[in-house]
Amino acid sequence: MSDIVNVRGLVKRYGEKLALDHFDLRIARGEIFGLLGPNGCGKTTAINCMLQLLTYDRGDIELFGEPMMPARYDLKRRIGVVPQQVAVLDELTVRENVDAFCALYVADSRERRRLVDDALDFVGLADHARQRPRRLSGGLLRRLNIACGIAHKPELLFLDEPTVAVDPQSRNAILDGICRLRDEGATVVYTSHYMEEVEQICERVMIMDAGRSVAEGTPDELKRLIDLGERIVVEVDAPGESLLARVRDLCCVTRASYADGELRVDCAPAAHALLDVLAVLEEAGAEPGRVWSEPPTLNDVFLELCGRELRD
Amino acid sequence: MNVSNGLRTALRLVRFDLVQALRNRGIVIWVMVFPILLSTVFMFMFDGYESGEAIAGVPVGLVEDDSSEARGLAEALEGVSRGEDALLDVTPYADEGEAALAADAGDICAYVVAQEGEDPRMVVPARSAGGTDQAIVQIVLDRYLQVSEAIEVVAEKEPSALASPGAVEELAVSLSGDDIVSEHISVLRTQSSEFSRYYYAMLGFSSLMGAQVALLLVISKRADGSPAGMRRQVSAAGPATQLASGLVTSWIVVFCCLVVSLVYIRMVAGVSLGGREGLAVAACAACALVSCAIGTFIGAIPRLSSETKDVICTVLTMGLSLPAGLFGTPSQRLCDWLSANFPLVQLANPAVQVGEAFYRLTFYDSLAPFAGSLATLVGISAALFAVAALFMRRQRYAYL
Repeated sequence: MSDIVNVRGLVKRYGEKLALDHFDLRIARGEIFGLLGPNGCGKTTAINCMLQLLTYDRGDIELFGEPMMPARYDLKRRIGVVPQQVAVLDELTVRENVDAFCALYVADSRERRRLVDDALDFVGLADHARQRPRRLSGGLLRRLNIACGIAHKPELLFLDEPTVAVDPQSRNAILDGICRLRDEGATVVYTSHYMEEVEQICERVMIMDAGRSVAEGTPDELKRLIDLGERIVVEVDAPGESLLARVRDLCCVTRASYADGELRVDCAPAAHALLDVLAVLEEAGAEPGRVWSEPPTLNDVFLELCGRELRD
Repeated sequence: MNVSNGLRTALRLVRFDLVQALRNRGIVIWVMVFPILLSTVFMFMFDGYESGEAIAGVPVGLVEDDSSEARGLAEALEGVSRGEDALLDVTPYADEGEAALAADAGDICAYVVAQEGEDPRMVVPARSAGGTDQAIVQIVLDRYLQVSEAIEVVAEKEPSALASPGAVEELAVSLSGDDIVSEHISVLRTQSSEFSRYYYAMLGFSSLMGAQVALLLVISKRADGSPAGMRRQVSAAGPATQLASGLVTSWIVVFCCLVVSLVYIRMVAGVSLGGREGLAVAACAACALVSCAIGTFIGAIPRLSSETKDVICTVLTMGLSLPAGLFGTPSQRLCDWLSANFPLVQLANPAVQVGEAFYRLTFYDSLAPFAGSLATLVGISAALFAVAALFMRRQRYAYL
């Protein structure tokens, strides 16, 4: 499959601050690619450089196999952008907004009418077409934000944290919509610091920190990078330090902590980890309540690779 | 994107920009409605002044000794002191000392002394000699003396002519009525009104307020101005094309608003444009241009929030309108003082130049001064556009 995005050695500085540090990125046609990282890690800067909104100090950017330049309007015509902030015009109605942004790409008004209808149907805003944005809820505004970015049927779509401050129902609708876009042939670059979303919809993920790629692969490949088999969570009264130390001393345990009535024990892949932990607790006379096991998440991967939580 | 495609795209986008501008509450209030409201306020304010403005007679004192010569002069002066268009307002005094005190106090501009055995004479206070009022009194007195002399000659050569009753009264009538004509002569081509300047200054204010249209559209098209601007900048329409559509739109909106204001002050407020209404509309075109330039310039200033730019636009509008004479007599005095002492400052002030353009168009015979004002406005616009382009160029790919 050919690469639709190919970024090599991208360096971007804001004064003394290095925002992108020899950043490389390859995205294949037709995939949903996740850029995962904490706020300020360089996700948006990377996208803005690819879109030629920002100058960069070094590096090459190719989109659709061609060098991307500020005046490559032929390439820009094939790109859609859904920025992090809701980017609509308050004075225009929902329909006029989608039409106005679509008009930046499509000249023919009849074709545009059809595209606008499609976009409004796609995001479920057809019933709100005559309303002004300020009358929409946060979730509907986000959907309008997406409609404005996809109306011209882009082949490459950049979605920059499209689900920030969105209710669960709207979030699910947005994520379903993104998958449908992919199914219709679009390539999606999806940035977020919500690892669950990235894990849910992205075929491949890049974890970024401090302007560079820390790891890249499918979610399963990334999870295999770290030495975490499972996390055992036990509801139990506060264990003493000696009991915590005995749990940590188990050969399969890599980390153990207690907070909010839960003992959380990270274990290396091992067959008997759960039994070993419960045995130590029983010996100490602790009375466990609920006990369950969680598979590793991308947040665990990030924690392991970067030494801090994704949302720190 | 070639030029013709760019133009077509720009015209396509004008429709959306127009809707955006015309639905913006701030623009509707400040650019469309406010000038009409202000004109209406001016109308009511100045209507009160104008209706209360009566032609007052020139205050003059009269000292007479009840002799026949003095009575003749007194009757002649009383003749021109009667009626709505009385030329003089005569106050009798018992003696010269009393009249001199009144003249020194400024109650009268001069006094006339008529005593037996001597020709009538006019006395003016030393500190205010040479005024127009005194000249009027002098003319009346000279005329009286000429007519008296004529009567004496007639009495000597044709006594029967003065035998009829009322001959002296007719003489007084001839002094005040048909023979002495007071005519308002102006060096301007249209009769000037001190209130016209307020309306012209108001047009200057409106032009600057109109900068909000360009400001709104520029901000909504710049990547660093708003999220919508960022989205527009990454689109398939180039920044120059989008800026062109915004400028065309803001020019159309401001031009139409100015023309509406112009029609209102001409037709409703009755402000004269010297019969040059067509050229006044052309002036509106230049005013709209400078309005676009100011909005573009403020919109292009880097690293300022849109709220800050709004404040700058409002403060600039108020600040530049002050020396244009919009805010009452002190403001007009400031305008005159600056024009006399710092003409370059006034030259660079678009609000002043807009007001000047309409003033010169209305009152000057030659169109050259008017053309000079328009050229200045175009020059200011060009300078502001150039600086704005420089700002945009410098920030284009530097930061967000």
